[in-house]
Amino acid sequence: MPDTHGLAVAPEETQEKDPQAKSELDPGYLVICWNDPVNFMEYVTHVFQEIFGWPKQKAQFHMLQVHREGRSVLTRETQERAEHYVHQLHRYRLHATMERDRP
Amino acid sequence: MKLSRKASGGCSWELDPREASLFLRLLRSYPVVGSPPTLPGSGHTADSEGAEALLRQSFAQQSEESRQELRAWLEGAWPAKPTKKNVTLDLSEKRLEWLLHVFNDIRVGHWKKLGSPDHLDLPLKGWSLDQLGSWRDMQASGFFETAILTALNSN
Repeated sequence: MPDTHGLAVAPEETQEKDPQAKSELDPGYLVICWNDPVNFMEYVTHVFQEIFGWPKQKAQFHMLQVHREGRSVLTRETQERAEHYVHQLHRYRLHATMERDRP
Repeated sequence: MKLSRKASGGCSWELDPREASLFLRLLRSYPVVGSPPTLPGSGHTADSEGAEALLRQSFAQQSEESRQELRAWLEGAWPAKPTKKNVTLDLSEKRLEWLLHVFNDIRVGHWKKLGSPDHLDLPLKGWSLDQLGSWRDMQASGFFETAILTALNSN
């Protein structure tokens, strides 16, 4: 992107936004973690704390939800952030997906 | 085995010769399986196949980076000659975190080699030596993983 040092920049005209760009900025994507039989409960709790910066109590709540109900919605984010979190969870070998939240 | 936090920060991990041998053998076996898990609930659409291909690529890259880092770390941290004495490792918190994920990777890798069973209390009858080895190494990785989790949660 070229810089604008010393130049006056005219305000841009408002135009209809690109629907794709809107979708990427819309915080309507759920990050879901799924149960698996191999990862230790303490490990899952630890990973949630590490990735999301949650206190232990909140991490344990979601870990138990995954364990008991098969899945837990961890957060609702923009598409880009949701992809980031899913990728992080995969790095730690947890099963995670993202899906569009229903309006 | 004694894994304890140091007042100056980081941890000290003392392993007896048998534990040290197991520790080293497990780490040298990394990565156990390069393929990632399939995405749950994704079905077999073009999108899911694309996502899984990306995931496989990402896992392969990550495994290779971790393998190289592991090799470099072992060369620096591990006694150069085999010893019958206890081995003590000085580890930063970050390194301990990293080892946690490496041992978990090894454990998950062996679980996948065993066919990703739903239950881990498996009957061992009729297994091949390879399967028994995977089961043993899955348990052994869990042993080290649990020790690290206990240490990390001890503050």
